[in-house]
Order: sequence, then structure tokens, then C-alpha cells
Amino acid sequence: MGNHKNAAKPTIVPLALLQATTIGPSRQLVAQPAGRVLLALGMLLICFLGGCVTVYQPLVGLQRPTVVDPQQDNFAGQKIRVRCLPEQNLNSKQAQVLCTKISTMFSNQGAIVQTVVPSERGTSELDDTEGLPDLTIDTKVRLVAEQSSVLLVMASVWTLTLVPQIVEYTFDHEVTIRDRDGFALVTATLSARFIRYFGAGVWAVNGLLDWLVRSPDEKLGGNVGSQDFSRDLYRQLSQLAFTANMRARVMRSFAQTPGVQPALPPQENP
Amino acid sequence: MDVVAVTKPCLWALCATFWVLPLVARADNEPFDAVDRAKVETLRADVAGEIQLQAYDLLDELVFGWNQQPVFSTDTPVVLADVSVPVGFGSGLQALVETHFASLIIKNPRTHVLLSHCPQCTSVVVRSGAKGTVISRGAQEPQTLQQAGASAGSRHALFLDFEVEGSSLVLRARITRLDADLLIVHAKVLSTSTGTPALLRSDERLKSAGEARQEYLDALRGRSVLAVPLHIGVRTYAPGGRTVGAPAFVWLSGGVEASLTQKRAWLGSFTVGASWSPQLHVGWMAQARASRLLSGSESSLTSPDIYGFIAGSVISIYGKDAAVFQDRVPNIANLISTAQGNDPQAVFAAFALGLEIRVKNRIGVGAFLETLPTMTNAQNIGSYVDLGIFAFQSLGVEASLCF
Amino acid sequence: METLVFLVVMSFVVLLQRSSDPSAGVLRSKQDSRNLECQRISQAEAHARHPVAVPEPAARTTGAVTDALDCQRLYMREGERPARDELVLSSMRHDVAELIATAAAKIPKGQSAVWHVDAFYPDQAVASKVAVAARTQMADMGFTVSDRVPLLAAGDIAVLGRMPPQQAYAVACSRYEAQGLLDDNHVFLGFMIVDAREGQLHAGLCRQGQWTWLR
Repeated sequence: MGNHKNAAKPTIVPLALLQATTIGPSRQLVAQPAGRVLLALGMLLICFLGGCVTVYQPLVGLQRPTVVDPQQDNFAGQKIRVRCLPEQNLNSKQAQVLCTKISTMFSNQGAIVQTVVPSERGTSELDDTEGLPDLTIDTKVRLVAEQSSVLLVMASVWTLTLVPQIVEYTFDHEVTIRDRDGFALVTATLSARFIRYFGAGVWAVNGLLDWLVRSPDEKLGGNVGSQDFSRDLYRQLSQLAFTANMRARVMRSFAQTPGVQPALPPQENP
Repeated sequence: MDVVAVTKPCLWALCATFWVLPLVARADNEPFDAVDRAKVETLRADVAGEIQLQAYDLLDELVFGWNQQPVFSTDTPVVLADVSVPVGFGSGLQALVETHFASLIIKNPRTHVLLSHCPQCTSVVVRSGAKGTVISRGAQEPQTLQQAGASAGSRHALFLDFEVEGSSLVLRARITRLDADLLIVHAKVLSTSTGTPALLRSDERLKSAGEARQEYLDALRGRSVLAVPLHIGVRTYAPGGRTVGAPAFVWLSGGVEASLTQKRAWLGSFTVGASWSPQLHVGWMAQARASRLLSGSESSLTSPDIYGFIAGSVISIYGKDAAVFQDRVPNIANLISTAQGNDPQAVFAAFALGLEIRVKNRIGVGAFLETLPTMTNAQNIGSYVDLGIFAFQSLGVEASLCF
Repeated sequence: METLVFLVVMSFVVLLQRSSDPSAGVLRSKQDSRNLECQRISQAEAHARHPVAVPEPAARTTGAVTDALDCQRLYMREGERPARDELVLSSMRHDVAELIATAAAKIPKGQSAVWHVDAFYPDQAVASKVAVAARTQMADMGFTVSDRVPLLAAGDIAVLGRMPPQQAYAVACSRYEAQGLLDDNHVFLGFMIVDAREGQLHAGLCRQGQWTWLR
């Protein structure tokens, strides 16, 4: 009610005083440009230092439990042929690298491995002069989905990457394992999803969380995504190959193949 | 911007963060096993609760099927010989399942299944003979029971088996004839998944899963796209440099609100409002608002939703209170008008940024900050938050009812 | 200062929008993420499963994203059951159905048979589940199934226990016939694992004293 009485009378302010009050204290004018330059430089530095955080999420197939231990001799003396088929999203060079890694994985488990990367013209690069392999593993990689947002890119640039850019990929690894006669023993699709965050903000927050809060198993920064994916892929491939191997043995009524060590006996019998 | 004024608080904030986070991490790490065990037990309880509801759903579905197509043409005593729960779960779930099943059977006589009591059927029976000794359940040795004079009391046994297979809960039900052959006369396999909400059907009025789903879809479609919101709110304005401050304005507004997406994740509304204070002011307002759901990807039927919104308003105030919104030096015409008893008027635009909590799209409370771009020079209006690019001069709260 | 706060708040808002993402992040641990079974499905299928969350696909293609990531939470967390048991149980329905179809194909058409089913697995609870799953599935499909399993004498079991699996099941089958436990029109279907490192079931059929491996 007091305000009501005061508000009834309009306040007349001299124009000169009005002009004076719109300008801040003069001493701040001297410090402002240098401060702004320093802040801008700092933000640019953060922007350039900010990196990627790639989060890996196993989809159907890759998050199933496995029993086979890839560090044991599960395929002692077995001949395994690994074929990595180049696709639109996997050129010959990348397929060769993939084949080499899978080959190393099986070799560590006692198998004799040969790798084949069919050329894009469809002819095999390796003549089959070494006899039929016990198992042939075909792998094909497909990019199933890719998502990004132009709005987020713009927001990221405008906020100097405090708002992160987010790109998402989903890959399918199609695996087919055949016996020496070419019959398919096991087919499976192993799906993986990768979400790449690029930005100073998310990189800094993730780094802090990794350093101060998360246990070693839960870290997300650095190469962790790739390592987790590799571990899952190798375990699943080992399990699929072992399953295929056992099916092949059962279908051949357990006929012994040269150089194959007998499998561990089951714990119970009828 | 003063570099020192910016740097100091930032440094203090960083230091505080570095002090607090290790403490949190240490608290999280030290009694790690105990904390982890407690979390697992809580999760187990949640999962067990969910499995219980899903198990009830499967039993409802089973009995509903027997209502539609009875296994027996006449009332037939059946022994509930065994209820097995998923591997890794305890016997508590078993008891709950038995009780619910018994309730269903009693309330649905059209199934022609009469539950019969036979403790010897579930007991361990040992039979010795020339060929050896066999240890099994009584239901699997009906001839032994007969020889022992402990008749089963019925000629059929029902077995219910629940198992968790990935994200699915599977019920396998079979009815076995209690004779030498133990032939299975009826079997059913039903499954559900964690993604399927429990249907919570009534025992007396069972519906098929299809009918229950259709009811659910109808209920969803019945949630109208349009609603009529009614807002009751208060707006306050930050005091300026002068002693005269703006009073609080009480607004009542209503209009129409539309859900822009199926999940009610985006809402748009247009409202008109009025404010009145005797002898002080009369105000009118028109506002357009866009809201975005922040508390998930879809609005919830059971828990509160949090929306963030931006709004644009045009506000007109007429009366003595409008004087606080004057942003220029009054001229002679203004003075004469005031002397003649004409109250001042202010018309200005406002842009709001706020949060609202809604329950079941019926009741909500919210708070917002408003920026008045044309009021930067008003002497009696200060700002609550100044972001440099723009300032928020007004703070408001409101309660909403939606019809 | 306020500008910095505003930018930080903006980035948090964007990150909060990712709170419903099933992948690991600020609000979700890797362990929680691995306890989800996720797959990409078409929008039409996603709308059928989740009518609230996913709108019906537009009649015209607009070039926008038309698939969805459907995630179901696993009932059992990783590590709660032994890996082999979890593998066998999680694929039980599919494996058992496949093996039943293979077994049924071995019986000449028009010939009726009474089926006996049992499972041989190191964990008795899991073995029981597999056996029940097979019996119920077969009965539901219309086969004549008995809950009774042929039982050998303790001495026979002791001898069979010392044999390797490729021998044991065949010998057991011939003993069933020799002891009259399986008539001509009675068939025994057995599920088992052969190696401790396996995660998938094998099956064999015992008919008229002959054992046939199905897979």
C-alpha cells in the first residue's frame, strides 16, 4: 500500500543522470579487453585438448556369457580357416587386419590357422593346397545404422565443444562356421553399438569420473571401448567355434581326426 | 568482465570438487563388498517382485485358456504335484505361485479342474525290488502309492514350471495321468518378457492377453491430444536501484494445450490470462508455451513428469502499478494525463524459461524466470540473474490444473 | 561467469537427454548396460511392442530414422548363474524346439510313438529344467509323451559312468532294449552336453536299440 502512494507520482529523472547511470565504473574498462582475450584463449585451448570418448555397448549376441577360456588350448591341432569378407564398410586392408587378429586368437588356442581375404573381384587370394580345414569361419561386417545430428554439431561449435558432438554406429558381425564338407554348423550375428562423444565437456567429466570415482572395470575413457569390444568378440568367436567343433565331432559320431586331442569328459554320464 | 572476479570463484569451486570427489570415491570404495552386496540384494528383491507379477500374468493366461477350452469335460480332481521356480530363486516365489493358482482355480469353475490335496504325491517315495531301488516323488510312482494304500485321491497331477530364459519368463504347465504310463494329457508353454508390463487382471474376470492389450491401447488413445490447462501463478519483479519496487502480480490463465508427439514428450499451449488488484491494476496476458519432457522419453502413467518450457508472452498492465514499468522520463503529456486521473499503462513482451512437475497430466507446479527485453532501462526493475547476453527480471511460480 | 554457467548448463541438458540411452555413461554403469539385451528392430515392429513409446511409421518414407533400439532387461544379472547354465537356459526354448523337430523327422510318418525324454547335465536342477522343457514342448506340439524315464540298474549306471560319451549313450540304448524298458513303439530322446566347455545341447535318439546322434 505504501508502494501504491509512491507509484502514483511519476518520478522525474534528469536526463544527464540517466546517461551517467547506464555506464559502469570506469576502472573496469581498462581490465576488460585483456580478460576477455585470456578467457577466449583458455576456451580455445580446452576446445583443442578436448577429445573423443567412445562408449561401446554390446547388443544381442555379444553380451551372452561364454564358457570357453580363450587362453586355454581349446583347438589343439585343429585346422581352422578364417575368411574375412570385404564389404562396403570393410575394405581388403581392414579385412586383412581383422583376419590377422582372429588368426592370432585361434593360434593362441592351439589351432593351425590359415587366413583368406577374398579380393574384391571375388577370387581367393590363397590356393587351397594344404588340405581341407576342420572348420571354416566366415566373418562379414556390416554397418547397420549410423546416426548424428547437425543441430548438435552446430551447438558444439557455438559452445566451443562444451556441448558434445554425438555420433552413433551399429555394426553387425555375421559369422558362419562350416565343417570340412562345407555344411553350416553354426551361424550367428554379433551386434555392437559405438557412441562417440567429441567435446571438451564430456571428455573432462568422463576423465574426472574415471580418475576419481569409477572402478577399473567401469572406466570408459581412452581405448577401453575397443578393448572391451575385442574381448567380447574373441570370446564369442571362440565359443562359437568350439560349439561348431563339437557339433562336427558328434555328427561324425566322434570319429577321431589326426592331431586332435580328446575333449574334456563331462562330469556326469547316464 | 573482471578476470579476478571470475577466476577466484572458479578456483574455489574446482578445489571444492577435488576435495569432495575423493571423499565420495573413498566412501564408495572402502566397504565395497558390503555395499555391493546390499545393492545386489535390493536388485534381487526388485527382480523377484517383477518375476512374481509376471508369473501371476502367466498363470492368469493359463487359466483363461482353460476357461475357453477346458482340459476336462467334467469336474476332475487334479493334484498340484510340483511348482518349480527359476534356477537361482528360492521357495518364497513357489508359495506365492501356489496360492495365486489356487485362488484362480477356485474362482473359475468353468475350467472343470478341482484341486485335490495329496501330500504323499509330493513326498519322497522309495521303492525297492529285484531290479534295484528307486527314489522318486510319489506322483511319479502312483502304483507304489496304490500298493502302499496311500491313494493319490485323483487320477491326474499338474506340474507348473517357471524358468527365466534371458529376458523372458516361461511357464511350462503339464497335466499327467497318474497310471503306469504317466502319459502327459495336456501341456502348455507360455512366456512373457521384462518389456511387457504386468497386466494385473482380476481373478474373477480373466481376459486374454490380446484383450488386455487392446484395453491398454484404448486407454492410451483415450488420453486426448488436447487438454485445457488452468494456471494460477504469481510473478515477482526484481527491485531496481530505486526504493520503489514492483509488487507481485497474481495471474489466472487458461487456454488450450496440445500434445505434439505420441509420447507426450513435446507439448504446446496457448493461454490467455488476467490479473486484477482492486484500485491498483488490471492486467491481460497472452502466452504461447512449448514444453519438453525432461524426466524420460515418454510421459508416465504412474510417476511425476518433469517438463522444461520456454514461453513468449505479451503482457498489458493498466493501473497505478503500471508505473513501475515506465522505462523513460515522463514528458509533459504524461504529466497532464496523470493529473487528469488517467492511470498509466504498460505493454511489454516477456520470454520465460522454466520447469514444471506434472502428475498424470492433471496437476502441476512450476517455476520460471522471465526476461523482459524492453525493460532494461526501467529504473524500478532490476534483474534476478544477469547472463550478460540477457537478464531475467521476473521470477514466477504457478500451479496448474489440466482438464 | 554467467555465460560460462549457461554453457555448462546447456551441455548438461544435452547429456541429460542421453539419460534414456542404454549405453554406459554418467548415469549408467557398464554392468547395468550389459544386463540389457538390445537389438535394432524396424519402427513397425517397435510400435507393435511399445505403442506408447514409438509412433506408427508414416505412410510415406521421409528419410528420417526408421528403426529403433529395443532393449529388454535380463532377469538374471551377469554372473548370478554359472555361465554355462545361463547359456543353456537362455537358449533352451530354441535349442529344444530345433532338436525336437530333428528327432521327429527320424520317425517314419504314420507311425505312432510314445516319447520318453530325459536330460544329462552336470547340474541336476538344470537337467530337470531341460527335461521338463522338452516334455512339455513335445506334448504341446501333439506328441504322445510319457513322464516316465527308463531306468537302468545301479550296476549298469556305474559301468556307463566310466565310458566316454560316444560309447555310453549307445550302450545305454542297447541296454534299454535288452531289458525291455523301451518297446518298439517307445522312443527315448536324450539331451546332454558332451564337453564341459559347451554352452549348447546335443541330442540323441534311442529307438529299437539303436542310438542316433541328432546334433
